[in-house]
Amino acid sequence: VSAEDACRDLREFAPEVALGIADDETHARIRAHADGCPACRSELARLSTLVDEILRLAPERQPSRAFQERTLRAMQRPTTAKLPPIRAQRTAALLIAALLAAGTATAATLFAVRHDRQLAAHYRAALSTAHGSAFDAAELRTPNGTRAGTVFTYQGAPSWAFITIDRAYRSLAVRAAVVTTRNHIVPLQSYRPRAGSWGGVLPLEPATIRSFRLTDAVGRTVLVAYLAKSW
Amino acid sequence: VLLAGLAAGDRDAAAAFVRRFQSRVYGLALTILRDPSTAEDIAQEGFVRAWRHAEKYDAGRASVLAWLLGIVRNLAIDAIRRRGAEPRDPNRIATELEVDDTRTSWEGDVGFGERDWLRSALVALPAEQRRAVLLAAYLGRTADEIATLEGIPLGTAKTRIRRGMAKLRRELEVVGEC
Repeated sequence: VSAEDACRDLREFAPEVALGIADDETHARIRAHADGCPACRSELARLSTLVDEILRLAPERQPSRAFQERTLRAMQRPTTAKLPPIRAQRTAALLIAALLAAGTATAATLFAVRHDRQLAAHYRAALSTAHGSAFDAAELRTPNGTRAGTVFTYQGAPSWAFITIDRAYRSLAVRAAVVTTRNHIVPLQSYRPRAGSWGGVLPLEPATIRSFRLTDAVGRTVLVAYLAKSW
Repeated sequence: VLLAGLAAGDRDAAAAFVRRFQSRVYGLALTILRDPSTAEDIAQEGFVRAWRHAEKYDAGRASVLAWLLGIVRNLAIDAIRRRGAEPRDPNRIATELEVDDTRTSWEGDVGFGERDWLRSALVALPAEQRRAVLLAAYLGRTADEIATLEGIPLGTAKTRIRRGMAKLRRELEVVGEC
């Protein structure tokens, strides 16, 4: 690819990169070119500034009176300490068993009432026992929004996922992939559901995953679960 | 200074940080989400993320406010996707952006200081380009998703985004040269 073509490529895709809606591959390609081309780097920076300006058009609104104090309390809350990695594969199975045995309901409740100190302590203790840093759950839904199962993710060493699919939808979803926060699609090669469930090690950290997509035999998305996301 | 205080875990710095930006942060979350309660949750989470990752802020890339709004925008978009909610009508978002009567004086100390040029430029865009830009900027919709929402081919959606951004970009250039 000539430098001229690369610059033309950037001009075409830079708006989507600046808007944060480009797929992973496009994002990486455009960023890589911009790193070595001052003119294109400047153009991308200007577009990013433009997006910042567009977001600043949102009108100011005052939150409730309790917002500031509540936010400050949340900011002071200790984060879960980063724990050392552990021996991977064998532990993944143990983690799945331990956390699911401890109760899907417990985990869901923990997320629902996250401000409850006792439950938060319980959650931290479970993570500490399992040498991880985050446990999450998200509903699997059909394209029209019908609930069809659950995806559980665990961030640790290793990071893993466990997927359960309601009986009515089990025959539909034959392949699985994750979509990253950069819209890059990564297939879950080991996805082989049995009796409506599958568990396995993830090829990337859950914090970088936006959604799980289960597809049918011809690649159509039949079920999607969106994870709570970091920035 | 505020960010240095944040990175050092200074509670007073945190309080000043929240006080200074809360109306901006909450305003953006509310614009994207509509629901005041969810918007407060997302705004709060945005401040917590900023607090915990203050050392990652790069002053060379964006203003503090732009950085913070970027965090909140992504959190709000994820909240919408998680709920499987229908995206907001971009025309209504456009209306809200044009009726901005609550700005306070501190706003002018970061960035270009005035945004009327951008507001005018957005109004001047063809409606379909404005919708595409707002769907992407405020709701994180990809060209593929915009094509589906608008019932148009993917190429047309991409063209609307590109042309809309190009026109706004030219206005930015004019302002930058002033």
